[in-house]
Amino acid sequence: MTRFLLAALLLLTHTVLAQHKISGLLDAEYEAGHFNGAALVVNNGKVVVRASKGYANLQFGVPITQSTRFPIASMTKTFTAILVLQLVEQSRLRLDDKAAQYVPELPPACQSITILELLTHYSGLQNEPILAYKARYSPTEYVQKFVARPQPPKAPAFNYTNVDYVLLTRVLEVVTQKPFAVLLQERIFSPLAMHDSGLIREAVVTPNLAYGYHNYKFGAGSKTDTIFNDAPIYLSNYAGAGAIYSTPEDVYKLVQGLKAHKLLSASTTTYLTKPQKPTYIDGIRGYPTLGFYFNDKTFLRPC
Amino acid sequence: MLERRGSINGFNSVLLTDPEFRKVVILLTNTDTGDLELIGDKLYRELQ
Repeated sequence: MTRFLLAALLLLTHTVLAQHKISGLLDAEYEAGHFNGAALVVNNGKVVVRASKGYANLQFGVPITQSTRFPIASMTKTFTAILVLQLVEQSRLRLDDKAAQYVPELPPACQSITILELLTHYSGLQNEPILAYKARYSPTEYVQKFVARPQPPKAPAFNYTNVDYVLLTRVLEVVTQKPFAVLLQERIFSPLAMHDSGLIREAVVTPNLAYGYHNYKFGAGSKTDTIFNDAPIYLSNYAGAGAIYSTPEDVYKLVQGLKAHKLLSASTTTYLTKPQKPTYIDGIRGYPTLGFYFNDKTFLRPC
Repeated sequence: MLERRGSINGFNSVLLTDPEFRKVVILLTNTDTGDLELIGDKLYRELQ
């Protein structure tokens, strides 16, 4: 009994210390002008820290809260990979299928690209130009305009490009005959009660959606540095590559959904997180899996 | 550790978790003023 109480006390002490340390770290980053956003830190199902710092809208002084919705950019790609694997589980799609089976209008040089190559960024597709976000393009239009492979083709290599995932968006729409936004709602957001998540649409005013600001400092500046409004671009064009908005709580619901196998079977979930290539990519700190990057170098000590 | 990061203009995001989804760090921001990789690592380290 005494041993049990001692262990419980040690665990409690460790948790309180971690809470204090993490809160202090976030406070310090905010005071330094390096963190303006929301954070959620969880350990073994227990929330260690929930934090909101700074402003969702600087010009009106609207503070960030836990209800503030943020465009999550390429975190969207994990959702797209999950949708793909759901269709694989249902035998409606195979990872070695050619994308051209579903999108036959792909250029001749792109006809051999597989779903797996798109998921892992080994398709050899060219990166999109900045023009890809200066006008509104549906996934269909985006694919027609920006899917291209250099000729002659280069040896297979990792190339991180949004084009891979916009093409996957189009494949998902063709296979299911449903818009990507509906797929997300029906297959991920609704089952997990992710009520603060959705797909960005410029024509819709989304409540609590944060404005974006930049100064390209990435930790090298200070709180007094000038900050600029993000240039207007069509975020919706990113589709399955980067057009979801969400909150930390909702993203955590996704993690919980994966853990509880509410979205994918246990074996498919393991497959989602399994390195698909033996090459560690320095720029993204990991081996490509289907939904994440597996990093076994930054924290060598097991967690 | 599994990582997923995102960055479009000021919108930067980080999700760090272990393969069993027990330890989780989620950061969502609307400025690019911080080094989220560094901040995420600092927070995740405290969960060890």
